[in-house]
Amino acid sequence: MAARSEARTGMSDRNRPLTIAVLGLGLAYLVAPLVFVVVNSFNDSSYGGWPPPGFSLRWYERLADQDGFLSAALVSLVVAALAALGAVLAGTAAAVSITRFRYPGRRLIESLLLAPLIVPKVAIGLGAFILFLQAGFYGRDGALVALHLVLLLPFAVNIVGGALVRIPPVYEQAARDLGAGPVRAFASATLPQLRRSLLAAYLLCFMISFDEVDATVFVVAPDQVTLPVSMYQYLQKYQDPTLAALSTVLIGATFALVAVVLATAGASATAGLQGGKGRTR
Amino acid sequence: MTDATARLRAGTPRYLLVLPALVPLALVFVGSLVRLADLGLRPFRDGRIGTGVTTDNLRRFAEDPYTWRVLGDTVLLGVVCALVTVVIAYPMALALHRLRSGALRALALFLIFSPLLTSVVVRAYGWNVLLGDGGVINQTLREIGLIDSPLRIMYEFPAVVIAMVHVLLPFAIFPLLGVIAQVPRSALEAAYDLGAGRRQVFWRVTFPLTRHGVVLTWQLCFALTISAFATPALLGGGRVQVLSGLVYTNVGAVDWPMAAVQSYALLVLTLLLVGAVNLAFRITGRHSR
Repeated sequence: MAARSEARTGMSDRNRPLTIAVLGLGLAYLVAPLVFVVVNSFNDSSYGGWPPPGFSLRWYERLADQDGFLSAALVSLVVAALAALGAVLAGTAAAVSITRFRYPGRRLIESLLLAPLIVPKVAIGLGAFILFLQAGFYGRDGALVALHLVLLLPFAVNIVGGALVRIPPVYEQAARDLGAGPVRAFASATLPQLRRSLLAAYLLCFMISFDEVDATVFVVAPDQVTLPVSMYQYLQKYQDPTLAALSTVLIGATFALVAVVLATAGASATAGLQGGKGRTR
Repeated sequence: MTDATARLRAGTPRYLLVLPALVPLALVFVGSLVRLADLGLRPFRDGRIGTGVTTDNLRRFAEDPYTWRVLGDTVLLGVVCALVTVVIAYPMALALHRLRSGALRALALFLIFSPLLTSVVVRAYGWNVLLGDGGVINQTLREIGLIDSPLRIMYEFPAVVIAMVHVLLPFAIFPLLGVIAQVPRSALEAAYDLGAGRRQVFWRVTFPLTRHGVVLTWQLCFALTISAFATPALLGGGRVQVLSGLVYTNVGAVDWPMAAVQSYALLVLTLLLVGAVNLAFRITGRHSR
């Protein structure tokens, strides 16, 4: 019985070539621009002419001479690290509140927490720029972190909330019954089960912040340009493969990081992208 | 509500837990939108932003035919990109769902995830290399003698669509995969047992059960497209203008009130769509699954 329905509802041999072809074409489309960025970083032609006239490492040498990218990368790393940390901490507390408790206004709070996903980034970016300017906060160290934190909150709430719904509260209650305070009960009974989701949430938030252009481009002061914004500005002026070399370095670094991460928290990160279905019951 | 939840409720500062998230949201997010609304209602004369309240900017927005054309292009881009994305993403998600080999599945998932790891700016550069006049595609086509002069793809509508769909695909495939996986096996088995063919099972069981997810995914892709800034700016090269690009230009030209009104137009557009889709679900009664 099991074998028969497997053959019917699963994949039959007749469909296999089609399945592979659909997936193959789609994946080729997804990977193509990345592959050609890497290939082009070794292109000797200065305008990235095709086919490459020769192999060259000179774009990597030129990249090493540009200190603008390095300082921008440092800004991006610091902003992403702090904003992701803030978003995961605040997002976890909020997720605990809206998944573990019932109170009036809970739905409203949940909608507000997820609202930055719907509002266009351009609107948030421009609004934040005006707000920071009038509050004397523009150009301060915390300005970008504050903006990114708000943009990241929905993702953190989604991932952690989605995980919390799957963890029964009985363990925590048992800890309470054995005399633990609410914080200790949460830390000893629920937190260990949340570890992977917290890691996934942090990494996803970090990546989103590290990549953010649409809102950031309005808020950055000239001396605090982030890496994607500086790449954006560079690409508007020049089209030479220096950017390809930089991109290749970035691709290499992220892929190395991800190889490690996928082994530990991959499933939860995917769940986060699926929107944390059934967050509230 | 379970008994445990009910007991947890007692004596715990449940509102307090939301504060670390709500305070920055209220200050930065709500604050920004309030400031933006305020700015949109300020008078703008002789290149200066005045005080007081006026609806001048709304009138300027409504009376400018160029703005309306850009608004139309923005909506068109959103509709086309979201549609193309869903049409590509759905078969991919279905194929992925049917894939039995665990290793192949993991590899495919990783490849779908991989564009998210690189900046949209980097990907725009990659498309530049592929689609440009002297780029990979044009040179290859010329080599094999299919074309004499390069196809103009770059800095035109197709380039923006190609790059934008690429950005959207991971955001569409993952949710669709979740939706397709939720189709109960028993429903498929029942359809087969009743003698339905493969095609019939898809159109009468699988697709209707996933329709809700398809519409929601389309909606998400539309919202992401109309608010995207970097990809249309870099691949449209100024020739394809979208509303977010106008906002950026107006900020550079110090016409902030106009930029604010245009930002709100984007927001209203998104909310209208979300509202329309929700209403449609309610009317067709598919909202409660």
